[in-house]
Amino acid sequence: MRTSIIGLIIISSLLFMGATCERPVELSLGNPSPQLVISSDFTAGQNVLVTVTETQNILESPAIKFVDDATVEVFQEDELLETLTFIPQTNRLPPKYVSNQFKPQEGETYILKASAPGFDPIMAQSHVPYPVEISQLFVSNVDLTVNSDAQNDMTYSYNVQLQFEDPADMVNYYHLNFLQKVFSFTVLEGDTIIISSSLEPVSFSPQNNKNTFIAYFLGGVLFEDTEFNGDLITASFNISISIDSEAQLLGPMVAQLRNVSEHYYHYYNSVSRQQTSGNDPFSPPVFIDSNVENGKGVFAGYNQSTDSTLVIN
Amino acid sequence: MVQRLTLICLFCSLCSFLKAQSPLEQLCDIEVEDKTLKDCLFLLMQDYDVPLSFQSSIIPEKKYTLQLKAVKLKTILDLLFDDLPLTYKVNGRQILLVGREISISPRSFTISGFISDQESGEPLQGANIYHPLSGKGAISNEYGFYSLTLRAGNFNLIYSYVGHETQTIAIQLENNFIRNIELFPSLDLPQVVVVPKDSLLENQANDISTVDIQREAADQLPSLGGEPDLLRVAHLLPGVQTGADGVGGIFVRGGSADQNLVLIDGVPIYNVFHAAGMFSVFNTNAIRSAKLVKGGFPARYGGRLSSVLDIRMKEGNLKKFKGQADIGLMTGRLTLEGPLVKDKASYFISARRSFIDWYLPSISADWKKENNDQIGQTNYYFYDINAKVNYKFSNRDKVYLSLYSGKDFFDDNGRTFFELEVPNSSGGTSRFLSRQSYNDRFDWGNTVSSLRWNHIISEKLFSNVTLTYSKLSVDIDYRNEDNLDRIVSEDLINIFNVINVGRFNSSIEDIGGKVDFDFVPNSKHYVRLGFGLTRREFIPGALFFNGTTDEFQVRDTIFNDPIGSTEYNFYLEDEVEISKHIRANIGLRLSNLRLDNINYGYLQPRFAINWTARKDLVFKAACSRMVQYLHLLSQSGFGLPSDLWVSSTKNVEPQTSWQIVAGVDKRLKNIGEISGELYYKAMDKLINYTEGANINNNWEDNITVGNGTAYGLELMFKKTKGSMTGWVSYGLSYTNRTFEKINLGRTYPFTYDRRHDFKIALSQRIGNNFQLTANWLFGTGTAFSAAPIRFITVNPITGIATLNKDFGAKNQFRLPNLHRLDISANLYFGDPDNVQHMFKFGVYNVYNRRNPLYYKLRESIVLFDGDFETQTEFVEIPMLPFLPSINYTIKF
Repeated sequence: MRTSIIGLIIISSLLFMGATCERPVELSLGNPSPQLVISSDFTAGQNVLVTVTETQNILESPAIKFVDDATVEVFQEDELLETLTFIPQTNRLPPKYVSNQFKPQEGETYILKASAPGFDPIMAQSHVPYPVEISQLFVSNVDLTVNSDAQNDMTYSYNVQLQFEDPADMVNYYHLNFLQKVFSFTVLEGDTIIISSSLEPVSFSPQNNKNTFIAYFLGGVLFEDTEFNGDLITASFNISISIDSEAQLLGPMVAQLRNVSEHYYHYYNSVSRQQTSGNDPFSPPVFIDSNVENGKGVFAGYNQSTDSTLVIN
Repeated sequence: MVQRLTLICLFCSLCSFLKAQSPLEQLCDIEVEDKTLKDCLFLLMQDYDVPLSFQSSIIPEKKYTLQLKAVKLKTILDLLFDDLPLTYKVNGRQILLVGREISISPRSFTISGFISDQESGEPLQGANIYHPLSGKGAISNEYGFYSLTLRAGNFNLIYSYVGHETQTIAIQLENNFIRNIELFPSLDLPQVVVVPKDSLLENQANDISTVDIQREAADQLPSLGGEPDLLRVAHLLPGVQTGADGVGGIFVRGGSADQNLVLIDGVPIYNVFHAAGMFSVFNTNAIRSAKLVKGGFPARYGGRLSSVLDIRMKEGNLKKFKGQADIGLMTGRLTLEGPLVKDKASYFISARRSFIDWYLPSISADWKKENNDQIGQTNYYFYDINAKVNYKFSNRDKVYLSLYSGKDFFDDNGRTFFELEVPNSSGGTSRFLSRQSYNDRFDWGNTVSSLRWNHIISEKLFSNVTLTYSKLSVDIDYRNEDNLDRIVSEDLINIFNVINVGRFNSSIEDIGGKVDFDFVPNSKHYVRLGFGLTRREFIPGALFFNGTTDEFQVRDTIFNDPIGSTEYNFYLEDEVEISKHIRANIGLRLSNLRLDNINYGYLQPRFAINWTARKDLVFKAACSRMVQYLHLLSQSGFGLPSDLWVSSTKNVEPQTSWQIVAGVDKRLKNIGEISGELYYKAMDKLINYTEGANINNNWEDNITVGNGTAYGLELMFKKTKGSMTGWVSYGLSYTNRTFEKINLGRTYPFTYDRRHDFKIALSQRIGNNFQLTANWLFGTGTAFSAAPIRFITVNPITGIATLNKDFGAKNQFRLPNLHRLDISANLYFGDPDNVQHMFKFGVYNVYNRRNPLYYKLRESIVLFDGDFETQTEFVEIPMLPFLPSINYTIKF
C-alpha cells in the first residue's frame, strides 16, 4: 500500500514534467514458441503430482491452457522410475499427472522429464531434503478485539514462537507455514454442534521482506539460514485472525516447517517477489528462478515437520 | 598667433611622421616553428623588408617557435634577443645587430601572483605565462595563481588567456616577487598566440579525458525552453549519456548516476537536477568555469568512480557594478554584482525562479477534469540562489564566502465525488455519496556553502583552506481519503471514512574542511598536496505512516537508522616534465572512511602521461583507481527525488574502480583539433536494490552487491577557428552489470548502454550581432526489459493458479534510437560598454521526434462480441515534443 502510494506520486510527478499522451505501439519482442510449464512440489513418501500447462504470448488474454497429451516421467539418474498417469480435471481439481507406485525418499535426487507434441521436451531436477523437526511451539500474548460496528466480528491477536535446530555445515532453506484451524458451528437446542472445520493459511505482509526472509504470497514465510547456520533458532511471529463469533470457533494453530530444496526456495521466492512488486515501469522486473530446462515452472522437493498448539483453552 | 600654431602643428606632424618611419614601430606577423634565429631574421627581412644588418658569426644557434600577429618589430626583436648576447641599434632606417655582454646568473628566482580579468577582477583559471626563450611556462590554477621560476635576468614574459588581449611584460628578475596581472578582455581572438615549443600547454585540452565546458556554449546553444544549461552541453560530449530529454541524470563512461562528483567551488552537491533531469541546478549566470573530467583523474579528485564536474562560481566584479536580467517562458533570472570596496571586496548574487507554476495549475486542472472527472490541479516550481562575497586582504590573501541554495516544490491534488443509488430491502433505493481525495506534496533541495581562504605562503607555495557544507533533503507528504456517506433527507450519515496520511523524508548532510597546497619548486614540477575530512550524516529514509478511520488509528513508522561517517583523505601529485617531450602527472590518494568501529582505507594510485610526438600531435595515457564511500539507491532509475543516498557500512563496502585510458590529440592548423580516446573501466562493489525489494524497508537488508564494466571509443572533432565553430563527436561503448540478486545473477547490459552515440553542436556567427546555433544528437536506444510471454502454474493439489511474467533476460530489448534536433537564433545588440541585449529564439525537437521515455504494458477490460475480455498492449510514453522558446537578456 505504502509502496504503491509512493509509486503513484512518482509516476504523477514524472508525467506532469512533459510526458505527452501515451499511445499503443507494436513492439518487436520476437515471437517465442510456446513452452511447457510444470508445477510440482514433491516430498518423501507421497506420490508425485504434476500439472502441465503452456506459456502464452503476453498480448493474449490470460487463460490456463492445460496440456493433457504430455508424457511425464520420473528418473533417478538414468533409471526411469515411472511414467506418470494423466488424471483429467475433476470438479475443483486441475488435470494432472500422478505417480501410482513411485514415492520419493529423503535425501534422494530425482529428474522429471516431460514432452508433448508441438513443444520442446523439458527436464528438471531436484531432491528431497531431510526434515528439520520443530522442537517447541507455543502461543503467548493472546488478545481479543471486538469490532464495535459488528459485535460478532472478533479479532484474535497472538504471538507464536517456534523453535528448531538448523542443521550445521550446509545451507538450508525453509518454508514456514502457519495454519489456523477454524471450526464452524451451529447451536441446536442449546448444544453447540461443529459442522465443519478449515485450515486458514496465515499470510504475512511483504512489508518486512528482506534478502533472506520473504513473505510467501500464498501464506507463510520463506527464509534461508545464512544468518544463523547451525544455531538453535527461536522464531517469533505476531498473528491476528478474525472470526465470526456467532458461527465460528478458534481451533488449534498448526505450524508446518518445510525444509525445502534450493530450487523450491528460489522459485517461490522470485514468484512471491513478482506477485507483490509494482506493475509500473518504475518497478524493475523480477525474474522467475526456474529449474526447468527449456520450459517454465518448478519441480522441487521438500520435507516437512508439523506441530500444533491451542491458541485459547 | 596663427603662425605659431601652424608651426606647432607642422612640428607635431613631422614628429609623428618621423616616428611612424621608425623601422622598429612597424607591425609584423611572424609564425615560425622550430626555426633558428637566423631563419627568423631572414623571414622578417623577406616578408617586411626589415632593414637588418648583421654578421652571421654573431648570431647564436637557437631555435624558436612563435606565432605573433600584428606586433611591433621592437617587441619581436626583444623577444628574440632576450637573454642572448645580442642587441640592436637603429641607425637611420637601418637596424644593426651587435653583440653585447650578458651576465648569466647561476641563480634562479620565482615570480608568482594572481591573474585576473581587468574588467571584472575575476580570477582567470588556465591563463598562460610564457617565457619564449627558455620555453618555460606556467598555467594559472583555479584561483588564478601562477608561479614561474626562471634564471635571474631581464626579460619579457607573455601573459595570455583565451578571449583576452595578450600582454608582454618586461621583468627584472633579481629576487622572488609577486606580480598580479590583469588581462583586458577582447572580443576578437587573442592578438598574440604563443605556442610553446614542447607542448600544447596553453589550454586544458592537454589533460586526458578532460573537457572545459564554456559557459558561453550553454548560453548560446539551443536548450529546453531556451534555458541555458551547462549539463545539457555536457550531454553533447562523447562518453556522456542521459535518458530522453535529460531524464535520468548523467552517466559518464558507463558509470551510474551516483558516480559523478559535482563540485560547486570545491563542495560536492548531491542533486544536480530540477524536474527529474530536465534542468540542471546550475544557473549559468553564476558560473565562471566548468571542467568535466571523465578519466585519468588527478589525485586531488576523489570520492566518485566515473567523473568530476568541477564548477567554479563567479567571484563578483571588483571594479564596477554590473547586472543582468533574463526572462524566458520557463524561468526568470536576475544577477547583480559589484564592488563593496573597489579592487578589494565584491559581492555576487544571482537568483533564478521557474514560471511553470503560472500556467501548470490551470492546464492540469482542465486535464484532470476532462480525463479523470476530477477537481484538482498539479503545481510545480523551483528556484536557485547563488551568492558570494570576497575580500582581498593583501596581495597574498583573499577570503571568499559562497552559498548555493535551490529548492523544488511539487504538489498534486484531486478529489472526486459521485452519488449512487442501491436497492434496499424495503424495495426502494438508498442514496450514497462517495468522496475520494488525494494530496501529494514533494519538496527537495540542496544547500551548499563554502568559506575559503587563499594565501600565497611564498612565491612557490600557495595554499587554499576551505570549510564546506552541503545538504540535500527530501520531504514527501501524502494524504488519501476515502469517504462514504448515506444521504438521508438532506443529512449525511457517515458509513466509513478512511484516511491515509504519510510522510517520507531523507537527507544527506556534509560538513568538512580541507587544506590544499600548490607547490612549484621549479618549472619542471608542479606539486599539489592536500588533506581534508568530511563528516557526513545520512538519514536514509524514514516513512511515517498514519492510517485512520473513525474508530481507530494505526500508526506505523519505518525508520532507517541515521548513519554518521567521517571520511579522511590525503593526496599528493606531481605534474612533472620527464623530458623535453614527455610530461606526467603522478599521484597518490589515501582515503579512509570511519564509521562506528569500522575503517575502510584505500590507496588510490593515479598516473597520466603525455608524449608530444610533434608540436601538433600528442599521445596520452592514464590509469586511475577510484573509491566511493556513498551510494545512490534508485528503484526507478529515473533520477527522482525519492532515490536514496546511503553510506558504506559494515555490510556494504565502498565501491571501487580502475580505469585505463589511451588517447591522441591532433591539432589541425587554422581549424581546430581532432582527438580520440579508448577507455576501459572495471567497477566493483556496486549496490542495487534486490529484485522486488520493498524500498521502504531497511535498505541494507534489501540490496545486492555486484560489479560492472565499461569500455569504448570516443572521437571528437572540434572546430575552434573561423565564424563557424563547434564539435562533432562519436562514441562507441559497451557497458554491463552483474549482481547476484538481479537477472538471476546473469550479466546484463546497463540501461544507458548506448552502443553508438553521435552528437553535433555548431555555432555560425553572421556579422557581429547574429548567431545561429544548432545541435543534433543520435544515440542507440537505451536498454529495457519487457515480458514477451507469461505462464500460469496450477498447484496440482489445491488447484490455485498463479499468473507469472517471463522477462527472459534483463534489458534484452532496446528503445528506438534517440535523435533530436534543436536550433537557436541569437540576436545581440546594444553598447558593449553600456547596455547590451540578447534575444534567443529557439526550437527544441525541431522535427517533433517522439523519443520514448519508456514502454509499459497496459491492460484494460474491453467488450468483445458481447463478452468482457482483457486487452493487453504496450504503450509508449514519449517525452517532449516540438517546443519553441524565446528568451530575452539584458546586461547593464
